[in-house]
Amino acid sequence: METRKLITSLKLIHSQSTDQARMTLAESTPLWRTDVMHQLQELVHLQSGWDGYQGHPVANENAAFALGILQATCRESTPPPQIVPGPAGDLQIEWHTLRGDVELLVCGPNKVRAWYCLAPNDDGEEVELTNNFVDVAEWIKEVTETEFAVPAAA
Amino acid sequence: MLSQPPRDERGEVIPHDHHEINNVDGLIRRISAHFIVADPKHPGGRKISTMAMRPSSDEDGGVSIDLQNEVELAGLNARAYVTTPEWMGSVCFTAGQVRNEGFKVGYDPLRSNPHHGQFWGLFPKAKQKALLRAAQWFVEVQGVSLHL
Repeated sequence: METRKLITSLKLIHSQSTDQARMTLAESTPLWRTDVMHQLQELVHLQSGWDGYQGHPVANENAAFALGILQATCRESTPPPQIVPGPAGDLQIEWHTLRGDVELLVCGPNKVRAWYCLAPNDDGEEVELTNNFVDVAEWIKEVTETEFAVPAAA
Repeated sequence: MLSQPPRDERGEVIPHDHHEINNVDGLIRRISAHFIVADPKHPGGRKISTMAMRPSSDEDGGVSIDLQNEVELAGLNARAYVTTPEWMGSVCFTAGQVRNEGFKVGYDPLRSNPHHGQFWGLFPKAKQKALLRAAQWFVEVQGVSLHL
């Protein structure tokens, strides 16, 4: 699968020389990307019948679209999701934390069912999406960001 | 043995509710290791993904199952039948539990699995979670909780 180079940060390096500063563009790979690539590679190479019935490996176009969703919604520090195959070449991207859950079912390119829940015994909110994942980015941030330290009492 | 299910002109089984599958009959759903996910909210920190209750397509596809009665009437050990090193566990419901969630439960024999069935219907997230709540372990995966 082709991968796109991501430049997500600039590093400003000041040389020790007296008169000049140097700026360096550095390529920064999000923490989640390597893990996701590994998972996707495994899932597109699943054997037929992997589920004990007639399950197909994850379709390449679905894996590529999933990667695109993550590039559009995840921050550099977002923890890697779990990626679960479906029987029809589809896949689901999942985060489960103590704060809540996000599940993104990729049925095909531009065909996603997104679900988000903060309360464990709640049915949550489910929406059909094509290529606008702005809300999903907020859900992921809410479910995965670490809690800030509670300020000491006065 | 169940009577043959209805088929279309291509010979594919049409979604149906088989009248010879009784509400008390067991339906077994194999759980691949790929369906096990981490969730710190669950005892043991692991659970079954809702993808385990995902149909084979959004058209006429259903969720594949093994019909426990059919397996046992054939003289086979049901737990051995649905378990190999690849399919580490399985869950079960009764046909009545699945029908109560609005699904049709039918028979879909395959050359590779003559005791195969499916259940068909709509699978929004709430229904997938309801099915997982109704499920009981048939062959348990250690350390994986079914319910909160």
